[in-house]
Amino acid sequence: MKSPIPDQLALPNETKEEQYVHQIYDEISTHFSNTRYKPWPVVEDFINSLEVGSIGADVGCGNGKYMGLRKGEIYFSGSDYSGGLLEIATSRGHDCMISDCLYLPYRSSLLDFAISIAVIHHLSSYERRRKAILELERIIKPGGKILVFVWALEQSSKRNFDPNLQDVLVPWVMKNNQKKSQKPKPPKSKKPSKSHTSHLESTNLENLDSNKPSNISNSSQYVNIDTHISETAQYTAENTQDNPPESVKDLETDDDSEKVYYRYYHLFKQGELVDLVQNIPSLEIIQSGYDKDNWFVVLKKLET
Amino acid sequence: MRLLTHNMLKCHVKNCPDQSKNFPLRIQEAQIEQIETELNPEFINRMLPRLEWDALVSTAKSIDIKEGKMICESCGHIYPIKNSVPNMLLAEHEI
Repeated sequence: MKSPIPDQLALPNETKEEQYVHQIYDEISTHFSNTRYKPWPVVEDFINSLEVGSIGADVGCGNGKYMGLRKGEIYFSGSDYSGGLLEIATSRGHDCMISDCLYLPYRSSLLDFAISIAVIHHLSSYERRRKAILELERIIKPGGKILVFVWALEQSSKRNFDPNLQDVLVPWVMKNNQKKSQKPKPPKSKKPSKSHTSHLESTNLENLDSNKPSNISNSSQYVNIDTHISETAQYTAENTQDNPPESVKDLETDDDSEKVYYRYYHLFKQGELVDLVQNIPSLEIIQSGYDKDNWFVVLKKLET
Repeated sequence: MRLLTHNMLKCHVKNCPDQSKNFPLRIQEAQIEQIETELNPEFINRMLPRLEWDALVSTAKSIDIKEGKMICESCGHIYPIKNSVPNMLLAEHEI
């Protein structure tokens, strides 16, 4: 069985992203952040290549994982739609703001670099993904560089996505004791939930950080339903066409010990990211490739 | 929000009427904190040309703004700052 649910939500793009991206990251921020601590090598190399004195934006900075690299040598301004993740980044001393990657608040042609790591795959139309690239292009100065990472459809190590299914809702499973406990929540109405949850594998959901330091957490906190999808998720998938779609994102399992959250993804096919950034006259592709289950491009804004 | 970040921001409301006034955002009702950082002369030298100098000087009294507002002198849009984090999101009619 496949874990992601086909995205058949008949929602406007903005609403879909609000309910299946922004709200979810706020809900899972603490748990999510605990799985995000190891920089990816390509990103680290890009940051290490920047000149001392560079200023730039981490658009979709999350917990600020990259913002501490080269502290004192380069300056990061971070932004994210999720205030929950920004609380974590700010508590680590990073300078962040809440912002929409489609409408960035920076002056134009200002920054030396911009990075967009695992962000654009959460935008639910071609036009919006293209606009996100154009915003990155706008804020950097001629000669500046951009790095973009997006999830690949073809990733093979732990996930097997259906090659014909690019728009999906990907589950995130969180035990109740992993929730952000300090924020009291209004009681939610019980959602229909048939059945049992199958055995969940203990592994890092995102498959991004294979060498997990033992001091971060024990592996039993990380659950992956890629290979053992729950009946609940299947039930939900069957019903998204008829039922109010709100029921998907916070469907509870019957024993209440864990909760499944769904995030919207557009999974990129080989060549698709390069296509997305092509035909922008001011941008040159310096490098493109595949790394850690993601497609990436490095772009340079041309001097005019 | 650090002063350096404030220097990067402009009002980005669609059709904000006067593009000559949408930067810098005026800071109001701010709570300020000073955060010590290590001096890196090379960083400072290379970063300085990137700054909008007049805007920096006019805002130099504040260092890290913990709470407060930034207000566009052109359209009046208020960007609130809470727990050091500015909220730069726009309403639907502003995008």
